[in-house]
Amino acid sequence: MTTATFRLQYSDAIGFVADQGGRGFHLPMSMVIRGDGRIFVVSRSNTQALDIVGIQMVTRGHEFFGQIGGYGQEPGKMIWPTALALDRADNLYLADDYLQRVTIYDRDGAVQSTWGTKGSAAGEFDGPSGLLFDADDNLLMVDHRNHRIQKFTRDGQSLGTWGAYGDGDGQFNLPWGIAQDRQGFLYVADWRNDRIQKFTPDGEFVAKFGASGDGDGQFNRPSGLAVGADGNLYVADWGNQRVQVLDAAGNFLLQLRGEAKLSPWAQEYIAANADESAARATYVPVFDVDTADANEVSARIEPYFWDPVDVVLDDDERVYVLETSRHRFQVYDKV
Amino acid sequence: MPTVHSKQDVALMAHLLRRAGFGATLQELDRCLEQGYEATVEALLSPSAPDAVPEDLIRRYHVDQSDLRNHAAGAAYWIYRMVQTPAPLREKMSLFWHRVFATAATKLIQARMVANQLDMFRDHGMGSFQDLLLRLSRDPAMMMWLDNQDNHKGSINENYGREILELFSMGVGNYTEDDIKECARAFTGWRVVNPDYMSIRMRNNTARPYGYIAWQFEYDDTDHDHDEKTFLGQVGDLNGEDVVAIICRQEATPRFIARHLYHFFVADEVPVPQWPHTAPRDPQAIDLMCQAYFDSNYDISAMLRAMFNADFFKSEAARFARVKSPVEMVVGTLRMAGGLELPSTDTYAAVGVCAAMGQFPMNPPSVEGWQGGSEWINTGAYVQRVNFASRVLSDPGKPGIQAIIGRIRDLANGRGLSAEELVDACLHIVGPLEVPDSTRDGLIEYARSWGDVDFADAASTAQAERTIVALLQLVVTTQEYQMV
Amino acid sequence: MMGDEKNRKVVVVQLSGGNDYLNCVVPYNNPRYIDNRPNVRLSEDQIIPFDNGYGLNPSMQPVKDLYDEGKVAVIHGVGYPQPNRSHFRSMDIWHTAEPTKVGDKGWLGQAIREMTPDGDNVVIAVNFAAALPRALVTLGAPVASVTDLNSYGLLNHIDAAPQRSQALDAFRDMYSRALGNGPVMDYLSKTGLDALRGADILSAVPQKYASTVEYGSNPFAKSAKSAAQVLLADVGTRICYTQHGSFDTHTNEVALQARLWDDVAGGIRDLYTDLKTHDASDDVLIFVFSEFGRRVKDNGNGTDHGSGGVAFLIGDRVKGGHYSEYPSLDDDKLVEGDLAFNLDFRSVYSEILEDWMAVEAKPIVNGTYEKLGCLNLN
Repeated sequence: MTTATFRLQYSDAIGFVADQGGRGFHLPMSMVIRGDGRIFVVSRSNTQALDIVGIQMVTRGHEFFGQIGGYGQEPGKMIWPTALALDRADNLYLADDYLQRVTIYDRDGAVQSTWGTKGSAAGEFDGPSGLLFDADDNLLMVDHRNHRIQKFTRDGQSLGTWGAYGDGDGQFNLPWGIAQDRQGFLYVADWRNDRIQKFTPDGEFVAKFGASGDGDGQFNRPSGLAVGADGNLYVADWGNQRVQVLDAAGNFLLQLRGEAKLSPWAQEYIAANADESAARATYVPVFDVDTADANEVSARIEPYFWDPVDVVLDDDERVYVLETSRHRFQVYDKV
Repeated sequence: MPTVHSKQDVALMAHLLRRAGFGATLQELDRCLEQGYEATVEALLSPSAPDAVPEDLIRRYHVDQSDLRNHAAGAAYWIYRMVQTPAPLREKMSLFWHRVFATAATKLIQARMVANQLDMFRDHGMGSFQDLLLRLSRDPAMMMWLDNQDNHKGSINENYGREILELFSMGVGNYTEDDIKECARAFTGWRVVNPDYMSIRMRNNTARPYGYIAWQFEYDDTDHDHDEKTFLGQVGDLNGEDVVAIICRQEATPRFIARHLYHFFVADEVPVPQWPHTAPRDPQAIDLMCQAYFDSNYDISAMLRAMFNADFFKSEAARFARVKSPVEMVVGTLRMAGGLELPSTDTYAAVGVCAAMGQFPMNPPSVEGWQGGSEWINTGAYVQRVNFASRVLSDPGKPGIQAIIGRIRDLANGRGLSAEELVDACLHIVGPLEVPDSTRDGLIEYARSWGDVDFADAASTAQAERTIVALLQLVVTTQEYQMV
Repeated sequence: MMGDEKNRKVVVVQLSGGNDYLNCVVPYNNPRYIDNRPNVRLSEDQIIPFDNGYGLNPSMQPVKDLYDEGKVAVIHGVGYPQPNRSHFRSMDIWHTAEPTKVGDKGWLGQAIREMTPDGDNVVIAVNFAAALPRALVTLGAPVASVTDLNSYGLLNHIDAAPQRSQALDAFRDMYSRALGNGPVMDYLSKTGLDALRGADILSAVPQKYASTVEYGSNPFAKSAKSAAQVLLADVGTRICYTQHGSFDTHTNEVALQARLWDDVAGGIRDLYTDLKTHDASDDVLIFVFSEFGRRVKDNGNGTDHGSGGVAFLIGDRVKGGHYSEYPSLDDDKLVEGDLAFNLDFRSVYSEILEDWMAVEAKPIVNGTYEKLGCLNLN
């Protein structure tokens, strides 16, 4: 048992359910932070609120800059967005599971190009999930229904793949997120195998962490992940509705369950609704729950993470946890 | 050498599987015929396997089925479960209770509470009725649907007190208005956690600020009326549990539930509001199920067992005597075609078609549920019905269609099949459907227009597959296929 | 020259979700409006000036143009007793004309039964959506539901023409010959044949249509165009049912409502113009309604469910102007924060049913309601 030498202290929540458009997110799937502090969050939304499908732009200071893209098949639009990544020139890359393509937006949000072909041959993919620009500015894609990682040039030329279906070392079962540490090692959330796998930059298996379960260091369908400067691994333990932090050797350090308070957008809404505001005065957000089902617990307890899908670190090692079903991200400071 | 089953056995088994489930694939039918009728009834009543629902995949691919706020997403999730379930009666009983204890997502704002209620029906819908009624009375969706959070000591809201008697257990005519008030008093203090805030969110139809918050049952003793009550002749400091126990002892309760079961599984009854004034179609059937209820200490599966094994259910007159509900039609056809994979847009399309035909799952039109019967049939709905069924069967690659083609190929056994043989085979596999000669003639003529069916070589096999698919598509447009 | 009453048609435009009356016909200078709408308000420089100190939503210019031609009746404060804030229940009340109990017959469905008692006219009512609104549902009342007129029909997914026509022939054959096999089977057979006949009639409609009017590309414009096509084809259709939404503007209201009214107002104008240029507008009445208005006080970014709304009747035979009164916004006149309705919607129905469609209203709306007299039938 390793003890963490730091704490993660809740600092803020940014978001609002924007199921009718406007400021906020709706069923967000992925986020990235640009060097200048602009944060991009892609909302998947549902079949009856298609207007909000798109990439919303915000800052940590609760500014909202509208959205890029929208629902549809035309270039620049999206149907089932899954992942975002920024290249070195700050171009924004979006993966779409339905359209089976990658869309590239420039710094100003204009569409540059799209590429992608569904299939299992080299250069083709089926269900792009995680996206990451590696140290060489090549795009690594979690090609999840092909159970492999595929490396692309920025314009979509395949530079190779690794992995296959299975639960052996270097094999995957519907993997999701991907991250790289300072030494260049890659980490993949091997989603349906309930583990994290570590690889060399060329895809050689190095190590695996975790097993199925809800104990310390165990996972239930890990999705997004990030690596700190110290090599600590931050994992969105999606099915367990928590974030776990492991050290570079895979030892459990600590976990977060979520403790969101009302963000300024939420406060404004509540303040403007006298009846809801009055009723909220007697509202007890955290109470004893009569079920052990983590998903149902999250459905009942508003401050907790609900479907924490992605975890991102900024340059100051603040931790951002994006929650699909609560339409927000929570921010934690390392202290 | 597989056992050859008589035509009568096959027809009866198919009838059971249509009514107690959503129709059977060829393999399911064979398996059930092997184990026999009564054993199949037992297996349906006590499914050994839990549903193997890939919740993780569903929630990853259909994120709107993870928060389950959206009605269409909630209904798509249910359609998926109905199509995929290995325990069709459990799912059919959930649909049954959903019709009797009709709770609509529209008022609740989110489908999730209805989905949770359906989970409760899955787990307890074939057990003790007393247990079920008590769970229903504590079910957060029901509580909010019928305003029990507004039912306070000294200021009752009668909604649940009335409906539990009128619609959920005994039916009109078996209690007084005073009983309703006393019943409501017994349920004071039964509410959800954070009742004020949860109520106002529901009333304001809002998921703001951070999405939906699921409800949890809570009993507040300080808001419960502990004074003496008189309910159906029983006197005391009655609480909700006592009221449910008293209700379940009444003769009227199993009579009412039995009539609902008959209405749903055997033959269409007159609309529920007319029940107090009109005798049941088959009073002996009701008596039989009542007896089973009391003999088994209120066990719902005992009533079902008595029904499925009774002649009134098994008789030929009972077969194809009910109009398929949109959900039965859609789910049955998707099961026949097979091959529903995730992610699936088919389940969403299925919800749209059900809604277009007048049955939006999780969204019954009122607390009285769907009436059904010929109300399912109008010209607009008919176009939807016919087009949906024949479209689902248009893909010869679907495993269910492949199985049907395989069965016909076995039947051909190396020779060619006449149009008559082909039509009879298709009717047999899809039903077995008994159609009038005029319909059979029409199908034969159509089959003939597609040419002979044989499997001599690749080209003729491909042609045979096209012919079979075309014929199946027409078979499901027949009037007989609209019946169950 | 107006056709006789057996030729008069209604196009229903349902604004689903609850159209905000206050930001549709805007009391922009009323201090109570200004107080109650700190965030979700249209100011004097935004609205389209209208009569009596009211303004129209900036997206409603096409309606204003028709109004200026004297073709629009603005019906104020329309609602029903004991308002219900549930979309579904409130819409149901409008659909069945039954505010107090759960009705199972649609008001137009009953009118259809009166107009074609034996159901012979299978295209008497055409609904432009997949789901059938309860307003059109009554046992035995034929209704066609069309999502896309160009591909409408039975077995429309069979691409190859000869195969589809063979399948349809077989269907027709089976269904006609199966009559006489008991009441349920006969009902199915008749419905199937009616559906087929309706599909035959309606699928021929687009070929008959030629127009210079260019409709928008939004779903409502598509419905409006389809309605024009069906009405101009003169196939016996007397009710067209369209809807648009969602007007359920709890957030982002000003932008959402503006966009929706762009669609609706534009669609209505194009429909009217289309009919007019084909000399067919004289016997068409357009009826616009929503299941309720919205809360007087805004919620910061939108408004919540309320009661008391506005309806419109539009057409050549409409006596343009204002009917009934705008309900007071004074606090003591509001009912639980909502506008108090001052006109029962069944008055409007009675006028449409009796004066326009020549169908007795009383059995349908279950009572006698004073009509507004906003139709010019001479």
